[in-house]
Amino acid sequence: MAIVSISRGSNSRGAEVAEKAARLLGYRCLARESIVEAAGLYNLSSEELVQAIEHPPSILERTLDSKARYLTTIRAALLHQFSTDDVVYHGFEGHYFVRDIEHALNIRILADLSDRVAALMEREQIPESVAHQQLLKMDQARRRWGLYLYGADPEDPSLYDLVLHVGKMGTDGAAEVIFNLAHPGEFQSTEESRAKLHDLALAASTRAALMELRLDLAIVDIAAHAGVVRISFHEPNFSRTSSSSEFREQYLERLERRVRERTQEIPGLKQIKLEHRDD
Amino acid sequence: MAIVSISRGANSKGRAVAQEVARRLGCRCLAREDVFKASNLTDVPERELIRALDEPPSFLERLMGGRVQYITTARAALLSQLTDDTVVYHGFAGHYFLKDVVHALKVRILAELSDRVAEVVARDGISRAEAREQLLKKDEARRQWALRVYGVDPEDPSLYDIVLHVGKMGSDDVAQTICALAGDKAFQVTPASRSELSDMALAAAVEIVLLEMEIDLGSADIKVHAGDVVVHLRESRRTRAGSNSEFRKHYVESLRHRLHDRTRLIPGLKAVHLEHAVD
Repeated sequence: MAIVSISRGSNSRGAEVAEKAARLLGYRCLARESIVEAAGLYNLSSEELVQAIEHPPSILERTLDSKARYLTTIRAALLHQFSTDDVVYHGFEGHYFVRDIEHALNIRILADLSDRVAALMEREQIPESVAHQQLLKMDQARRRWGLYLYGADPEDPSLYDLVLHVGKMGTDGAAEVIFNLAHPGEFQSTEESRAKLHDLALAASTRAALMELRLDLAIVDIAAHAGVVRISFHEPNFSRTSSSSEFREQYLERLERRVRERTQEIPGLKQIKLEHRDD
Repeated sequence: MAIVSISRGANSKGRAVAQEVARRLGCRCLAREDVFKASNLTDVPERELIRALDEPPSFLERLMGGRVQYITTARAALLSQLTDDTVVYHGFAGHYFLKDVVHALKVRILAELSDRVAEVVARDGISRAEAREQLLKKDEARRQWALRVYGVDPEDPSLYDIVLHVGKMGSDDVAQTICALAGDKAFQVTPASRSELSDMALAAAVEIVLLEMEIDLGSADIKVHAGDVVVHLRESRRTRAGSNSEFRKHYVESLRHRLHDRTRLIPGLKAVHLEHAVD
């Protein structure tokens, strides 16, 4: 089975293509709202997440912490959904997170601007000029977000396995193309690719869980393999430079206890290994 | 079935994909060179295109004998070759010349830069750095060529019905996808679309004749329907300057004779009528 990730501009009928493809494949169809729901798991409010997705961050918000929190939450939520396989996802830039997963088919849907304008006019009952302006603004906002968060323009075709223009082929034709590619062929999951995705999802969930603790330490890396999660971190200065070895020991023990408590409910996690690094 | 037009960067496996698609569809595979051979078009070598990057636009104009002349001749040459309902074409600007052809499936092939570099290294025995530089230069030269000559960026995905990345899919899956889409009802030739294409080819051939007669194409409207051609000429300096109405009449009559004479052997042309603003 496969993961199909569909990226689209607003009013490009991408949702329609996703639903049709999911029906043909017999897969679940997930929309961006699923990610918003998942935000509850990580104590980031739905409003904050939607705000983050819909509007580029202001200069004040562009701190490393904010960006890291958003990315961590979105990544964990998406990978958790993807790890169940057999899913067609449409909406937020899922393809950024599964670029290295062999059984993920990354797709971009395009539509003629005139058709998108007509769709928005009908839906919102607004004049053509207003619809046109709104769409261009939304496109720009999404591009800025893509560049800001991932350093890549979501309109760059080289990010995708496939770009489909629904103008002539329609949503049925597009869904058919996706079905033919995802059904048998190159994008079928293997034991190895599924295991790799589970590892990625586990590492992402762990990072998201730790983010909530707001620990006063610098995490170097979180890697997962077959249920075992290794967390490498730099010990904070106040502990490392403490003259009292007892203080240091107690701090590290307390830290480990908090981490284990927070992560024990993560599905698929068998063991946590904490390694503090001096480099 | 459809006309499949495949656009590709250098060393992007586009040629191999085109040949495989043609083989599976059981139709002709037409390359850029075939179109050039069949016409008087000067094939501008790639090294000259790269050189043109650093030269003023007039250099390129001189190389191709004038932009208007080039486009007119290229369009006529390509359209005259598309006599079969199903043909695969790969080469220059298919997406540009065929954008109004209903049964044309416009495809763009992409490949990973690293794979393209590896291919050049293996073929030419040069270093990776050298191969990378060469490829990037070629890509930029082709882009600039298309922008200057046709006014479109060939890397713009919205010009195509489908963009396929061979990186993960492989040439076989790409070819299979194209073949399946070529069979979609959206790209099927109909009596009406076949007739439209014939009319377009005829109009392009008449444009060549008008150029040979040194008529400014900007002052000519050509309408074609089922083999009947009507050329409407707006006032030119020559007719405006001649205040003698006899002169003007005589000039237009001579144009009619020359046009009739030069077009009588164009395949598919039933009749040609010249209408002039002087009439």
